[in-house]
Amino acid sequence: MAVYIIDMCGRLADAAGQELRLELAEEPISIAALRDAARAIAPGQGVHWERVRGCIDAEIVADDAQAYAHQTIALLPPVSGG
Amino acid sequence: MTVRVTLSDAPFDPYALLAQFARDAGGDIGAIASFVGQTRATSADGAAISAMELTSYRSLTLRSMEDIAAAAATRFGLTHLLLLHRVGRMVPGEPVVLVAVAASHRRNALQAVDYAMDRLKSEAVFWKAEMGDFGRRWIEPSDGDAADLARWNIGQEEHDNNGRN
Repeated sequence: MAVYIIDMCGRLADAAGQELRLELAEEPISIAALRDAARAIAPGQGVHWERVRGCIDAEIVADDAQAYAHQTIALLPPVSGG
Repeated sequence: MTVRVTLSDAPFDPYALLAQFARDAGGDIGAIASFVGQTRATSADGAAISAMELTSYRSLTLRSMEDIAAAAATRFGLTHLLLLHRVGRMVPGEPVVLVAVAASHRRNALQAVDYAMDRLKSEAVFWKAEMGDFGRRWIEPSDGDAADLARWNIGQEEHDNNGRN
């Protein structure tokens, strides 16, 4: 099993906390699959999951980007701006 | 060109910083322009706000601010730029953001502040929640912010070089 620690940003943290720990059989795994797994555990309220982006090692990445458990991973809902 | 970008979880005095900025910019410039954003006491729907909470994803947030600051400095030929943004919980009237610029001429200075704020409002990596009698609710990006951004005709190259989007 691979253990992914995901930083949950903005409103995603309301349901999941600042960090979400996911134990998954697959490694690497796509951002889209990680997002689906996070959604299943902590769907939250008012979250437009289809607009949630993935971030790996401080770079916003496409849904098909592959993440490894040792990387710094975050899920980002649409920003509010400053 | 001197560009300084700060992401702070501590309150700040924008007017003291602005005075220091003017001193640092020196006497051989023609224009200093600035913007101070404060926490509003009412929401877009008119509800009273008791506090606002800004959260960030520090590495990305800081980079998005640095990209916007660098783009403004380049596009408008600034000699100095200061961008400071708060995160954390703020009460109405409390400063949230300071943008200060120095340039040779007033129009570049004024436009640079406007440009930087429009990009900050729509692109910077922040999430805002407002609190009041209604409880706590997240603020979504607005169509108005997108329209403000469109005024600047930001090309793909400017985004690629300086932006996250």
